[in-house]
Amino acid sequence: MTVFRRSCLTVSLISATALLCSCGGDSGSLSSTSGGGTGFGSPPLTKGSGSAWVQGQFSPEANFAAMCATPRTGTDPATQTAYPDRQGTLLDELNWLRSWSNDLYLWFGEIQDQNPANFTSDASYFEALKTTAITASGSLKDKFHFTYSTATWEALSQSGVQAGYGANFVVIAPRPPRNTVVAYIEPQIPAANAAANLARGAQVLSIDGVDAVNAADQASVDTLNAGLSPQTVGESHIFSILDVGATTPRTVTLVSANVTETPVQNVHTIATATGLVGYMLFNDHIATAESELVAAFAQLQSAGVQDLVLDIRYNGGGYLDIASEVAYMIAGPALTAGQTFELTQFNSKHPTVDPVTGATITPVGFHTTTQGFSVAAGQALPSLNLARVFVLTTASTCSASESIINSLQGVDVQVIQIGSTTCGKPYGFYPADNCGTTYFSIEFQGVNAKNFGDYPDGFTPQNTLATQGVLVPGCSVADDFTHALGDSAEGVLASALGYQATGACPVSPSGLANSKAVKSFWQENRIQRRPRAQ
Amino acid sequence: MKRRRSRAAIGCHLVVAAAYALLVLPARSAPANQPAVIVAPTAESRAELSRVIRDALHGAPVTLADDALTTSNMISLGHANIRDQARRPLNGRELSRPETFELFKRGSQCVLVRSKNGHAWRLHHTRCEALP
Repeated sequence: MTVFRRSCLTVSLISATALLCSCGGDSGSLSSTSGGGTGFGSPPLTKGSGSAWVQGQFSPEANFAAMCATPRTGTDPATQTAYPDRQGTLLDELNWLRSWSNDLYLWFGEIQDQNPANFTSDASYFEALKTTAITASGSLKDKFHFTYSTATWEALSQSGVQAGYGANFVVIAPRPPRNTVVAYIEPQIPAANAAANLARGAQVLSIDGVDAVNAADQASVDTLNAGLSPQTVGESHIFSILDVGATTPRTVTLVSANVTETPVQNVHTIATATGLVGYMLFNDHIATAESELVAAFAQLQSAGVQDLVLDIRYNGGGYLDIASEVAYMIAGPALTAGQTFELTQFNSKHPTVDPVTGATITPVGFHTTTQGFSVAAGQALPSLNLARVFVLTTASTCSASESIINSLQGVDVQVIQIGSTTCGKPYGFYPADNCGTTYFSIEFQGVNAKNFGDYPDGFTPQNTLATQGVLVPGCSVADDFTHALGDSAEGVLASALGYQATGACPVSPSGLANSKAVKSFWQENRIQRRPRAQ
Repeated sequence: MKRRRSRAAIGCHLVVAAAYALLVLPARSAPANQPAVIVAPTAESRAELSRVIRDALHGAPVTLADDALTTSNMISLGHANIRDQARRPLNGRELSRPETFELFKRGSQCVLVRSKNGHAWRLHHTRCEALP
């Protein structure tokens, strides 16, 4: 987690460096004598960097908003109006961060108030504007504190479209000796890469001549990152891989292309002695998932499944509305009618009104109709009307995916967790732009119908040897890369089916060893951005 | 207190729903306006689609798939797939809604409608056919 923080800082520093370099003259200095500036649209004298720092006293963030060391000009595509930026100073930007965090940060009382004048960049100051508390498991309480270039953040792409190979990798061991394998293949894998015949479990031994297992220097890691996450289409990288069961590596060349993700895959039924079981792999809460989920649940509803295995082991979240739809389609109307899917709670300064939207805070129910994300809004959702569900999880299971688990538990649907501990992110934020940087600082926590949302260490299968998160009935089982996802012989799914049949787990819990399966080695060095397709 | 927010957070659901109902639904219900998909896309039609959407969004950079609107009459746009180091979505608990456009066939014309406000654009270099 320390590495995580450092990585964020790295990117933030890059941003800040650009900011400072482009400031020129005094605009990037810490001099606070400009009193709000004398440039375009000079602010009132009571605003801006003329306000001296007094510990524990905070001016409204509006006093410093859009007062920028380097104001943007032109039309903001996000608001479709002129950028509000005015000439200010770095100190103005830091004062905005300070006041904004004090107002909206979920744990504002745990921020150590520090004089912004002692900081030389927005990145370093933002990094200080969070809690340093740790959770029961010893993890940082706030693991989700980011900045990003607003221009990059606001770029749009068709849902699910990104530059890639059509193969998704997972890093099981992030440090040398590393273990990086193929997690799954997209159905729409580009033809050039399909010829490589990559399959789940294939181990990456080298990329572009760099030892993917043992290389430790920064240049090598950069090469590995570049190969695993192509930034643009048309990139060509040479991989040495070892297929499952093979003893001799082979070399393949992968070429990046715009790949359209299929977020819901492998929907099928499994006949068991204890009833028909439905299975679906749900990888991403993106907009196109809505139509695929509706089709998947309708298929399983028609089949008359008596149990469902929802495989969200690689699902890191996304649109919360999609999660609400999924929860409804599992539980159905009888269990969810009038119930809370999730209630968003802000800090104690904002108990009743969403401080960002201005709307009264009200519980979000379980959606019973489509929301118009990828199919027309208002269509009745199918439902399986199940009183229990099996979820397959890893540390990649995060955010909105965890909301499915928590919301169902909130309405007494029995959730049986097979796999390993989830990431632990009951929190969220409204990304906020100021002066060209978008800040992600935790602002709210989601709670279920039982007012529970305290799972910062994730959800953990009950028989896990070393308890990490909130215990959930189920089995600790390591991800099994020797079988295809959805294969009844795949270890995690097999354990779910075993539990469904007997109520018992495999003899030896194995999930813990794999609980950090997707902590990637690039986090040791720098933040890794999902490439933007071109 | 009014706050500055990202694109996604700005959307007001009620306004969107009202605009959608007022502007899109009447057009859709008319016999001559049928949900449609693009057929035989060309480089020219792809460029046109990309340009129209970019202009509709006031110049926001947009990435589309080559087969956009060829299998569904709706296209959804979201923030570029920015992920954290563990390759999880940066905003894994997203409260906003995607920007969506829908394609309709109006007589012989292919018309792209922005769901959010019902604004429509005729696509001159695109062939489309109504969905059954």
